[in-house]
Amino acid sequence: MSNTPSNAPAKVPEKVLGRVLVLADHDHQSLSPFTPRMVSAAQSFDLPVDLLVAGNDCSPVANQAASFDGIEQVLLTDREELITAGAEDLCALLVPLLQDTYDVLLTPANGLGRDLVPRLAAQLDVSPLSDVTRIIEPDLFERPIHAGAALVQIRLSEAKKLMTLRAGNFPPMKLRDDKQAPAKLVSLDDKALASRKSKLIGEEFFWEQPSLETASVVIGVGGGAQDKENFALIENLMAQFDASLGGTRLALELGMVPNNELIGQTGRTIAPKLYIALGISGAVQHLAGIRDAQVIIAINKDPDAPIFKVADYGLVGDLREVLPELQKALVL
Amino acid sequence: MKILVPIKRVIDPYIAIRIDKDELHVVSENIPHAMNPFDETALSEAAALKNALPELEIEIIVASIGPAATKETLRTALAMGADRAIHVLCKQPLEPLAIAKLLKILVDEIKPDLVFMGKQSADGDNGQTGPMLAGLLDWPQACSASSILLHEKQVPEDGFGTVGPGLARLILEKEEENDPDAIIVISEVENGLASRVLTLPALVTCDTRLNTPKPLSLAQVMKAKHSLIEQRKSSDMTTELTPRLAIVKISEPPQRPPCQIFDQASELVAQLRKRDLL
Ligand SMILES: Cc1cc2nc3c(=O)[nH]c(=O)nc-3n(C[C@H](O)[C@H](O)[C@H](O)COP(=O)(O)OP(=O)(O)OC[C@H]3O[C@@H](n4cnc5c(N)ncnc54)[C@H](O)[C@@H]3O)c2cc1C
Ligand SMILES: Nc1ncnc2c1ncn2[C@@H]1O[C@H](COP(=O)(O)O)[C@@H](O)[C@H]1O
Repeated sequence: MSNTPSNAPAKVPEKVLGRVLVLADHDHQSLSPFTPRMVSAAQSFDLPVDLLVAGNDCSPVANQAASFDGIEQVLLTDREELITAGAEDLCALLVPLLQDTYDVLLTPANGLGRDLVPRLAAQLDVSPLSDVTRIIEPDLFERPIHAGAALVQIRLSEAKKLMTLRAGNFPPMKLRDDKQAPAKLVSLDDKALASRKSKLIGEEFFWEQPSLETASVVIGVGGGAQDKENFALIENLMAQFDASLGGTRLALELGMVPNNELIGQTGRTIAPKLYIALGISGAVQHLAGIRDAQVIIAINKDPDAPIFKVADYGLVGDLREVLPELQKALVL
Repeated sequence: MKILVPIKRVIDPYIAIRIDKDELHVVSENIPHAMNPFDETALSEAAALKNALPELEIEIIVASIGPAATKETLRTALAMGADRAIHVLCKQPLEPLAIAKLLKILVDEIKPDLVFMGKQSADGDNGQTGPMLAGLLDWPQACSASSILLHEKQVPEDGFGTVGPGLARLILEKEEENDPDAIIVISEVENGLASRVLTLPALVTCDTRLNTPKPLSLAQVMKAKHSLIEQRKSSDMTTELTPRLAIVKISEPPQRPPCQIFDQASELVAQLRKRDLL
């Protein structure tokens, strides 16, 4: 630097303005719908925003990302090991980026972010935040606690702010218009991976329905829907609304839905346009997963069931009678 | 084989919480508490593995950081099958990073082969301490486990859900050839199951879907009544524990508008049509 006094230490670190890094969520082929939402959340920090695409054979993902507004650079690290990579490997990639260049890291609050962010934060000696639902100020955030029975506002004064976001709570970022050039692509392929102490050896994807998080209509079943005679009616309802199926812990224990489709504190958090709760009491742990649904319909035979405290519309009655009536009304 | 299971005492998750007038705390005085359900799962899993695999000579050590009352939870843990219990006395609540740092000191001393933890605490819902501890130790980690395989013997005839026994055995055999210290953890991910091989020592966080803890027998409870709980103080354990987060306000989630109950299914359908939800 020309204006450095001659008696100053040889290397004065330049005061660099911080940047925000968003970790892209993708399946090596395309971006998940969460990514544009995280990019829009990233704008709240008033800093330049870059996106990291880490995967294998994923340059189409990077190109797709470059077409979103609000991103300056798309960093791409494309290597075969990343197919089986775990949080350990991604940490090795991200620690230097956060030490040198970035002040904020945003990831979705799904398997990817939940495993990675706390590990990375501990290695950087900072406290991260999980499941952020609102960015109030660049250092003031809101997140649910006690299964969503309370919301807490937290001031985070860490120099490095790492967090997982409930992406469904943020609006999606728009695409760039025709006049704008795509974001700059930067290759990161010289970065080392970790010692590979944990390795993915197999993944079996067997749920074919659209992801619960992105489905626009979700039907939830609880213990009250267990009678076999309801099943065909529930299937019809699913077809009618093009809905995905989820359930309560009791439904899961009764074998009505697979493990993976548990909705709530232990399971998944959904934000559909419409949630239809069938025979669900409305325990806080279940409500934790559905509070962000725009409209909730509940059908339950108990008028005092807590689900009616959060539902917008309700029918009180036995599902074995109400479902056929609903069916009739729908085809009219 | 040593398994360390860190457990947390939390407000009974089945009880409705109340926010203090100061809007900075959740009222916890004179409120029933329980072992964090996810930790109960982790401990049950360790106990089940100890029973099922005597050849591994599993020793289970539980540790909990918290106020004096935390001892009650550790007694429950001893009744559930823990061999040793360590209480780290700490009056003020700590952030996950500080908990992870204290746990790291215990791990360095105890040198377990495995740490089983809850995937999250039912009060703070952080889900951070497990991966943080793994990060501080630079150990491999697997989160939200739905099966933990330490030994080939564990693969049931009918497999694990849709992971067939063939696949699971194949994986184990293949990895065992290269590395006798490898374990396999199957975790639930967004749209299926992911199997991961980890080299020991390793850290696994547990989902309640891993098992259903059995109710305690009177004999188990009585036996644990007189067991020793090793006592430590966080203030004697040198590590940096200053809080990094400031709670500004705790509030209830926004109320949703009151529910409109219809007498007839047809009225509901009419309303949905009106709102363009059909
Ligand atoms: C730490 C922890 C985490 C948890 N995580 C989750 C989670 O992620 N997700 C979750 O769902 N649960 C979770 N639970 C469990 C939760 O507390 C409840 O036990 C569970 O949600 C209840 O499920 P349910 O509503 O199906 O059953 P129930 O509470 O038994 O309710 C059944 C309902 O069906 C109604 N009903 C019965 N028969 C009929 C009929 N014929 N027609 C119409 N209505 C009928 C009844 O009136 C009742 O309201 C968790 C618990 C703990 C402690
Ligand atoms: N005070 C504590 N003492 C011992 N273990 C704890 C404590 N707090 C959290 N843990 C462990 O960390 C896990 C995750 O907690 P959390 O990061 O707070 O969601 C819990 O399930 C416990 O296994």
